Order: sequence, then structure tokens, then C-alpha cells
Amino acid sequence: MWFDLTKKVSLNKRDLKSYKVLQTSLYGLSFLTAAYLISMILFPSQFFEFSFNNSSAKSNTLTAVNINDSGKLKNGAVAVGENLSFTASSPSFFSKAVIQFELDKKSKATDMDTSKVSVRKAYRSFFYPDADPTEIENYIQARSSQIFGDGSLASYGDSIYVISDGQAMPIDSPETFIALGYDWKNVMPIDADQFAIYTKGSLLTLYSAHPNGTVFQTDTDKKYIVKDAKKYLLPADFTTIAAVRVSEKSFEIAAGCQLQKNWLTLRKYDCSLPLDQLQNMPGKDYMFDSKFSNDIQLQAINVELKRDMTFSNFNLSLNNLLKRSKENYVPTN
Amino acid sequence: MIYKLLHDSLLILMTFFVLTLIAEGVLPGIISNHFGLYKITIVILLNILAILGIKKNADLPAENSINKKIAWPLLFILALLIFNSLLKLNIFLILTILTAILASGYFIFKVFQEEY
Repeated sequence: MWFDLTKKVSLNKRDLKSYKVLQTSLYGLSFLTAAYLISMILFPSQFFEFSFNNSSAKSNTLTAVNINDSGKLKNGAVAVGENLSFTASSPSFFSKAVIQFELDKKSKATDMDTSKVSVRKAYRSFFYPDADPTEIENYIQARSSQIFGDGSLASYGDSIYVISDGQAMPIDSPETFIALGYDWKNVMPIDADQFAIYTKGSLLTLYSAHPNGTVFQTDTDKKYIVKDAKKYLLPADFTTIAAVRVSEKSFEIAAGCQLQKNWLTLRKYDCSLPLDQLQNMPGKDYMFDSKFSNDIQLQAINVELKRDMTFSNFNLSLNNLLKRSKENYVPTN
Repeated sequence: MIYKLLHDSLLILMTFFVLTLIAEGVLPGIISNHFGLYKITIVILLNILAILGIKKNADLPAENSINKKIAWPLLFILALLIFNSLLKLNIFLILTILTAILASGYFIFKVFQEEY
């Protein structure tokens, strides 16, 4: 089947033949472009990066980058035995993560061949170190006695806030709300007088950790509360609404890989981590731990989360798209 | 030949643009998260300018400027997209705004069609 949009413009036989060939190629190319775009939507990749040369840049999408949980970066210098950890946050599901470390020109060692990287999935704050609950007994009692205790979800105007430390922290989007593991059923309306008590806190985004007072409830029915980057086990009879569901298995299930030199470049090492077994873990944070075989100086970390082109992923993507479009039209409360 | 190919590419780009708008209407960000819609708009504008330039220089005959068979479904899609974007408003307000937009669009079209 051949059609001509400009019938009034006639061509000689030779030109007409060339036109038909070029026209077919043009439509073929556009079809391939459309197919590529659809594959990008159904099997997306997400890129994350961190530059040690400019650690406070907004372009750094990897969060909680630190050495030995110290919160310090030491300009990217990592010694043997030290643990470099970082987090990539995304509510989507992925099949694998490709990690790439770029060595700084100043790095004396250039060999990282036996260095290892591992990943676990959960909420970053659920991985805070355990602490003694008796330290915060008063805090827990005070929290329980308030209507809007720390970690509560309050709706005021068109926004939803998490109440924490005398602040009302707005959540930036419904996607972030769901990604943080909150439930619409647990949102309570707050009136103007009550709301005025709280100062406006920082915006909670996809990259944020849960604020103080958040309660995590595990699949084994244990409850933990988060305060000042520590996690406290709560008594079994502790009741709360707005608990975030987590899985104890998040600590056990991990994927690992060994870094190998990227043969195309001089100072880059990469490896690929399978994420299939982490897919069903609740949480938005992929937390990476890396240990190096030499004292090194890093310049940058790049992470690419990928979704493989498989039939099951295709089904999952379609279901997600349907769910998202339904959420757009059907009220959730 | 280039003139003919430009028409084909314009058809492809317009089809792509309309489908993108429909997809964005249903699921905001589904396409624009991957690439900006302004890029398609710029390419369409360049394509139209190239067609007009060639037509003027080569003194080519004008094609049928309005195809009513395509215009009505496109108008229907336009009305649906506007309705979709105003979905959270009161239904009567939506219908009023929609009527006003379509009416003003029609009169603007009439002004462009006027011969002096």
C-alpha cells in the first residue's frame, strides 16, 4: 500500500522511485523510534550519580554517601577495610543495578579488581543502628499522649504533612507519599488552630529518610521507632496508626558483585548486581555497601538501575501503568 | 521530492504529537519524563517552515488546506483533552469553559480564513 500526501506535485519516474524508497524508510524509521520509546516507558532505566569533587551539588542523586557510617566523605579517599555506603532511591522496580566507580587522577592505587559491592532494599531509616529503648521512654510516652504525635500524618489544605519534632513536614507529591510506605487511610485532618502550633519543616521528597517518630512494623509484628538516626524496639503492646510496613528479610536478602575494570576506560571499574530477589521487599531505598581491595581515591560513583526486557516485567509495567492511571481518576480517600 | 518527504514527516510528527498529548493527558509524565515535548513542537514548526519555504521558492501548487474528515476527530480529541485537564472542577464549569474555548477557537479560525 502506497499513499501520496501531495498528489498535485508530480515527479518523474526516477525521482518517484527514489521517493517511494525514502518514504518507506522514513515510516520504518519512525516506527522503530516509536518502538524504542515504548520500550523506554515499559523497561525504564534510572541513573544516579555522585561526584566527590562537588559533594554538595544538586546534581548528586545518590544520597547518604558516607564511609563507615561516619557521615564523612574524606574527599573520596577510602582505605582498605573501610565501608563506603550510598543509597539510590526509586519507587519503581528494577532487575539489575550497574555500579561504576571512577578513580580520581590522584589515586595512587589503580587496581580494584577484587573489590566487592552489595545491595539491600528497604527504607533507609529502617537500617539505622539499634539502640536501647529505655533511652527514649519519655519521648515514647509523650508521643502516645498526643493526637498528632511524631510520625503522624496530617492533612491541611491540599497538602499532607508528617508531624515531627514540633514541625509539620510537607510531602512533595502523592508518589513520594506512597514511596515512603504511608497509607491514605492513616491521614487525619488537622484544623487551623492545631496546625498553627507547628512550624513548617523541610519538604519530604523521594530522597528523604523518614523523620523522627516514624514507627516501622515488621512482617513478624515487631515495632520500631526512629529517632535521631537510631532505631528503637517498641514494646509488643505499643499501638499506633500510620506504621510503615517493612520486612525483617530486608536485612538478610542481599545481592553482591565483584568490581572489574571497564576495558574501555582507564580509571573506571564496574559490576552488575541482580535485583530480582529484592523486588518484593518493601522500601524505596537501594542501599549499597562497597569494600575495596586497595587504598583508593574516588572521583565519582554512577549507578544505573535497569529493568530487563522480559514478559513478566512487561506485565508488571502494564499493571503499574493501569494502576497509576486509575489513581488519577478514582479518588483514593 | 524533499517537499513530498516533508509532508510525510509532518504527518508522522503530528501523529506522534497527538498520541503523546493523549498519553500525557491520561498519565502525566509518561512521555515528558523521557524527553521534552518542546522538542517535538520545535521540529514540527521547523518542518512547517521548511514546507512553506520550498512551496514559495519553487512556486508549487497548494494542497487542499482543510481536510474535514481529519478535522472533526481532531477537534473531538482536543475537546476530550481540555475536559480531562479540567476534570477536578465542577461539571457545569467544565462545560462552560469548554464551550467558550471551542467557540473562541472557531471565531479565530474564521478570522484567519477571511479574505481581504
